[in-house]
Amino acid sequence: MAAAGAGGAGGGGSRSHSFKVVLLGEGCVGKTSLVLRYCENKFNDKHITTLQASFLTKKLNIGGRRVNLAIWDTAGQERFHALGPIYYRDSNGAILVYDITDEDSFQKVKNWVKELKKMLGDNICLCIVGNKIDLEKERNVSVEDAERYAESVRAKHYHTSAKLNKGIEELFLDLCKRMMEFAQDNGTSQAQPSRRGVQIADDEPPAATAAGGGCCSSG
Amino acid sequence: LRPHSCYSEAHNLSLRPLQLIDRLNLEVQDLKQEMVQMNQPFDSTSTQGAGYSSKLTRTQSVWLQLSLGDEEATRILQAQPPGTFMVRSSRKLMKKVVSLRMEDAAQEPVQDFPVQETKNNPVLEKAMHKCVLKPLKGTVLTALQEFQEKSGEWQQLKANLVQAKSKTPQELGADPAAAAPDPVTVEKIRHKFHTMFKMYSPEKKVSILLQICKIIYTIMEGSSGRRRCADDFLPMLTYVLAQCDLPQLDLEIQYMMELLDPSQLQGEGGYYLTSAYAAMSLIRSIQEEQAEQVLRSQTRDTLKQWHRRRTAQRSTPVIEDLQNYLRVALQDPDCSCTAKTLQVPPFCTTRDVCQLCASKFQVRDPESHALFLLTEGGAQQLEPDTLPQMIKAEIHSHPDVLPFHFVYRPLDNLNLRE
Repeated sequence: MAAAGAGGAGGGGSRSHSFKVVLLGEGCVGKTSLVLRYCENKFNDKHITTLQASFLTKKLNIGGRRVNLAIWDTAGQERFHALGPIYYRDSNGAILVYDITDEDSFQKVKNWVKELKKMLGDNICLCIVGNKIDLEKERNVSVEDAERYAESVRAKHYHTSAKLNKGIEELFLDLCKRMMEFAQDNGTSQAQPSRRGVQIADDEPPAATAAGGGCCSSG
Repeated sequence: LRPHSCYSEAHNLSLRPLQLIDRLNLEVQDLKQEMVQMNQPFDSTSTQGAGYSSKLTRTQSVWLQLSLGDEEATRILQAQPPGTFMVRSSRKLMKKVVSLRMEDAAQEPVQDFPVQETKNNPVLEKAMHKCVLKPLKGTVLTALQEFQEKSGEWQQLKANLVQAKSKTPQELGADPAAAAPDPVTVEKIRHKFHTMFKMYSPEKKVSILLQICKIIYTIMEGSSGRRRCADDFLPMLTYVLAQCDLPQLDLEIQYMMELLDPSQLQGEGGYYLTSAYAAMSLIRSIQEEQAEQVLRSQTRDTLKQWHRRRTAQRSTPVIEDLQNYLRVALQDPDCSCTAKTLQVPPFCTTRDVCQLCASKFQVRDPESHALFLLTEGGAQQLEPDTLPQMIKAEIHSHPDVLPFHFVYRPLDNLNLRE
């Protein structure tokens, strides 16, 4: 395409992605256990932490591409609901967690979906997660309802158990793949935030102009 | 065009060595390790006394020989003891290399190691912070405060802090089972904030903020060993900030949010900075109805504006966004494109730029070429006495910068696709 090179200094064609994923859901649905399980494969472990309790990172390799996930936990109490936008802005993905034994927590997820759609449109990959499937006997949210709802808002639905370490790997892997696809479809192969820092342009790389060619040599 | 011609440009010369030094510091350490593995002491003079960086800086005129060719470099280095090196631009590899005189028994007496060049340059960034932010910091923060005082926000925040200070952690939403910092610890944290206020580097400020968050986590966890998540952390952070009673922290948070690198805004520093911002927002809205704490509309507006400015996905300024550079693409009749970054001062006219393009792109018939501005709306030919840098500045001043390109192309090229 014409003059495509003009904006290309942001490090296009990078082989790595950085994604921000925000974690939303009511206080007691187990969203933190879920990510702790995923990032450290530890559940309710006696373990002296450093800073990493509400901000977690995970590195993956998907199809030869490095993926860096930054997972942002949010305070789930109702009184903090209004702070949501501060946390979810710029997110590539959102994981909305409810407790399958708690119908109310599923309603909260619906509220979040509505808000995210309103604020971010379709620029975010949504995952709706029914957690605590180890308590299947006490289930209060029907599988069909949840899955039908997820489909209606173009979200994916997952079932997990942080306690039994079930479904968690799949959830994150799937989300990463979707975010990668989304990044490619939107031409922003740099879901990698472009560096703002001081940049030194390597103006006219010696090779390109030497051969007297008319071939494409963009920056 | 000779490959090394671009190095003679003054603006490049002044920056390039710094970038190299930065990279070389790492490269040289790698090389040293390699030499140690080969039981060969690395050039002893460079391992004693001052650090590698300062040695490299001081001796740069000796080792930085960008224009030196392969053969000549080999000839010079062969006469030197093993471990001697120089940095030059390899035509074969099309990148900068460290040419190193190997030990005598080595197969090849001189070997080239490519230098990895990074776009982001910590050393240069640090230097920029020192040159620009250090003298400017006081002025910026004073201006921010005056701004808030005029709007009444500052007085409001002070009043809210007084009110918030009287609240218990539980009243602010903290888990009763979580231990809160005692007055001594609060004092210690306040002291850390004062240290932070004196710094000008956003990165350093954030690292102090992280230390403070860590103190809070450690106390909350106590002996329980229970990991505390955002549900517990945010209210406790709010409690601590209220106890510290520092209205200027609000300005500091703004300063960091504006100046931190976008990639870091997504990381741990960004997360805790966001949490501090959220905590301050809670304090700001403390007088409003408690039942459903609505973010004050003002906070929402500020956030929206900030978001627009700092969104990571937005194409952040690259070299051609800076005042004196202009990126121009040449479009050949066969529709292929070559782009170059040209040095174009603000008052340079389109006529001048066209002349520059003609010589840079080696166009034989400049009279049949013109400069166009390509936007989503199509191509627009620029009049000879317009100022491209001003046009660019105008475009950049819009809240949502749409993609645009300056294109130098033949006038009769009508089958141009956008």
